[in-house]
Amino acid sequence: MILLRQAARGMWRGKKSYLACIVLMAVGIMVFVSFNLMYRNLAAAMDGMYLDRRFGDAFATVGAIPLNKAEALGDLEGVRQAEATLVTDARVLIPGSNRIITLRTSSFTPGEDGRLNSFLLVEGFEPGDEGILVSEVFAAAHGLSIGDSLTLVIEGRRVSPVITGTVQSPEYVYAIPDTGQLMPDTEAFGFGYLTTARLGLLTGKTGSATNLSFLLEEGATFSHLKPQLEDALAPYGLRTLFARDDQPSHAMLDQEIESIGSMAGSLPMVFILMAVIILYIMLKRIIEQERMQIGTLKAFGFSNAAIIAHYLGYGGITGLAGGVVGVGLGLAMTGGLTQVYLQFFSLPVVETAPDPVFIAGGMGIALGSGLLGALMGTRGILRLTPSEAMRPPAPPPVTRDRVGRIPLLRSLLSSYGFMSVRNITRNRFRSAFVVLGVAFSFALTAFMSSYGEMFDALMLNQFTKVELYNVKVSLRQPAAYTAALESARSLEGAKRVEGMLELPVEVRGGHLKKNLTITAIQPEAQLYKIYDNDGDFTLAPPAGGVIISSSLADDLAVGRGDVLSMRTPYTGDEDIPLPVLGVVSSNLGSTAYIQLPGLWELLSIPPTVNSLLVDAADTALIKSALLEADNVAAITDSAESEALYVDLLDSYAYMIYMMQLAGVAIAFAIITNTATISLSERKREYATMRVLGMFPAEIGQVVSFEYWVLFLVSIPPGILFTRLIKEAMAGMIDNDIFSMPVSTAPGSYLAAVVLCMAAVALSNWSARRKIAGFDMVEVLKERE
Amino acid sequence: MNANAILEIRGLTKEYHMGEVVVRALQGVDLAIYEGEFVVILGPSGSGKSTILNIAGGIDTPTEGQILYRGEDISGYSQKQLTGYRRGAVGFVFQFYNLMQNLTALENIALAAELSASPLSPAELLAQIDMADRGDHFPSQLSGGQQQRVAIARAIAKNPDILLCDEPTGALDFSTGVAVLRILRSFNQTYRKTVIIITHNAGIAEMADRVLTVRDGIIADERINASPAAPEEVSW
Repeated sequence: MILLRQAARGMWRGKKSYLACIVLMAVGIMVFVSFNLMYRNLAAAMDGMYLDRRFGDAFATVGAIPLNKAEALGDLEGVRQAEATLVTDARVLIPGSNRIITLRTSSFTPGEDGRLNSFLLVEGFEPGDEGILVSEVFAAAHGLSIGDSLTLVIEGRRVSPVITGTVQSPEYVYAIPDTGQLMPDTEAFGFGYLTTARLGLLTGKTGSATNLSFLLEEGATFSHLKPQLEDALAPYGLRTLFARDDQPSHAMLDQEIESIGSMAGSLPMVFILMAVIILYIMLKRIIEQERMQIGTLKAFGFSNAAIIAHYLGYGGITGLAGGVVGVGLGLAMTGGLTQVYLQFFSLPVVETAPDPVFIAGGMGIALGSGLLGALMGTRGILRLTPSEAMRPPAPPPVTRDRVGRIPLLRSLLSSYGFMSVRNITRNRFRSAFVVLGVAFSFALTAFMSSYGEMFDALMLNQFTKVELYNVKVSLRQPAAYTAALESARSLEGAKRVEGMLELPVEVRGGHLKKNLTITAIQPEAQLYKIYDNDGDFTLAPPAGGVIISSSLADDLAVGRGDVLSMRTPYTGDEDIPLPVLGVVSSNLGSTAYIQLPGLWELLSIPPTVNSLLVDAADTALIKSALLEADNVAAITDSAESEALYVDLLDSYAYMIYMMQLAGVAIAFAIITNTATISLSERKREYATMRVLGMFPAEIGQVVSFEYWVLFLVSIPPGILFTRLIKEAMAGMIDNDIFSMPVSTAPGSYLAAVVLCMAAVALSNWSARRKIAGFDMVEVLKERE
Repeated sequence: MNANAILEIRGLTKEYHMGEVVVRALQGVDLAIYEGEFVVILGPSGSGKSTILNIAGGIDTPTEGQILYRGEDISGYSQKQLTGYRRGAVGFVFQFYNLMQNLTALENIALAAELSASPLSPAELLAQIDMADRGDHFPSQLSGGQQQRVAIARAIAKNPDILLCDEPTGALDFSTGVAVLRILRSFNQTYRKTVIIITHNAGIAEMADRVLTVRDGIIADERINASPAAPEEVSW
């Protein structure tokens, strides 16, 4: 009991150092608890919704298939249920807005149960033929309420159904029109439901369906089923066929949840490891300081176990405190964070009951880590005999003075410099820990500083280097090249118009294959460029083959000079040879580029385009003119897309600042803690230096120089860690849509250097204050 | 002000507050130390002799009284001024040497020399203390006596006016202690510098020009040695 009291007093004396440990431990446990619970909550919300709403395992789009033929697909081996719906993109006319707003409208049969991908009615009721259901997020973005009427243009016809309810859907948890768009634009794109009868009439496709979903039998796989479905759907104009993994909304949601799961496993360990090492160093120092006392206790008859248990108390208390704070903060954060994610992803709100497993796990890890750190530091007690312990320790043996023998150092370093450098070389473990800690902080700050730069590489380059048009008009049906361009040129405000054909294809390279969109542009294209991210140059589109993105080259294990084969909806089962004429470094996933005439020739089709790129003097005029055009599926205003991107980046700014602050705080905590331990070890030396007549600032130079040297040493591993973090992140989020750049611009490294220098300078300032505060008489009276 | 007094202490008192208890370590000390003198301040543990040395050396401040160094009162000096005083005027020798563990013998001496405007040569000092062949040894590779010799050389290297020695032989055996005293006497005579030694060892007092005895915080006795003994002649 008395020993416990002593432990408490000892901790109080070194409260700042223990506090730093507790903070690191608490941050680690907070991340562990909140990310694990969030991962679990989101996965449960996703699985729950998919199960409830009977989300499909496979999806297909076709030109049109009679409903009776579609129903027959349910009889295919491996298919448990097939669902056919009619889907069309309706233009929404909002008074006073000239934005092209698309409502992806699906058919549904009122009162029908057991449908695949069924919507979840959030508010209101299922409509009859005169009503419509719209997505909750879309309604909120436009301030629409139940009872409002919504003006739609479907196949050139204007209708104004009344909103009877708002919905969520497993197909649009992350509501993007296709994988070409990375971020949801809740104002420009939403989804809704009209009755099958009404939508059939409006589209002129009564009795037909365009979209198919399949629920597979247990044990059946998409890859086995795919050939059968391809055969069955080919007569109906098969456009796309993909598994759930490639469904745009699911792909984004799943990726986000998995990345939270990965971070829940790795991120906390970094913080906890650092806390363990600091505890180890501190306890080791305490044991050295209290050596005489340990000897006395042993001489009194206290057992090794009792004494070790006493010192383990320091680690135990630190771990427990970190655990309690971390679990508390983690639980407090989880609810809020989960709700933010659920809202972002349009998932049903779930009750977030804290899972005792993670609470107990968090506490267990914290306590265990605290005890481990302390145990590592206290092992030395076992070796001490009472008589030996009561003598001052013999000075550490000096074997060879390598530092002093280096001629360059001899000429460069003053006595202060030698003290600093030998402090580093004689405390290798501690110096290595400082280097690793600062390197980690450096990597964290560099990574966060480059967040904007990564986004720029991903997105902003897209607006400034690749997509140089103001407006992209996506056509509902492919159109003849010359006629389409002429009609676009006649639009008021159009300065230059170029055609584009974006074609979904299946590309094979040896035994590897990939579904992707091949982009064909005009030979002299000015409004769309093939841009190499790494080299910062553009390439002209080739004619007799394709230039492919680096990620596609990696996926198919091909390079320049290889010949791929391609299948398209135009050419059915025919394999068309596709020479690779170049590889371009790109962060936009798997893509391939070719000249328009080259593609027409390869496919033996007449000159056709399905998108028009416009350099407009006035985008508003173009958009207004096309608002009700029949064959226009969507209009992309690049200024709006860019603004959306900038908004998104701005919303990350707070998180970036917080993480940078965390990086600086970690560096500061590590340097200050190790410096405090060093100061307590060298107190007598520094006091002697003050007696000799040195000013605190001069003695501070010894400490400063040591940490500046360690800081310099930590930059190369810091750069390496930054790269490793980026590679890990890239590994987690790489997909067909985009890949994360792993390079870092010098500006971000510079920011990390400045921030870490600030941490070093702050720690040095703190050390100098401590030195100035030494009571020389008191310090010199103490015997080590 | 006494003519020729390099250091003069007037009405020096020092109180320590330990919780609610006030300890009066010095109760009005008056003394003068002259240039080139070899003075031993003698007294038992707790008599206040170390306090006199600490205040005279500018590492502690008085509660009351004046400390005049070459006629200038340093009792009201700021910490910065006191550091300047220590840097230029005094050199300290401690009982437990207090060498920098990460510097070699020569570097320890050079460290102090770097602080002075008119330092003595570290290499020459090393030779004077018979340790020219140990210059690249670290403190942990030296015996106690060798370490104390280096500590004295370090104190002298700044070329101070006064050398303040706190029990310089306290941790040494007799013969090593005598060797250390010889170096101190040599410094006093060669450079005509003032040396003040505080000790509880009455034997050392025999080699002093003047012996001050401190008891209960006052100078209880003062005695002048008409013929100070050589270091080799003292015993304890």
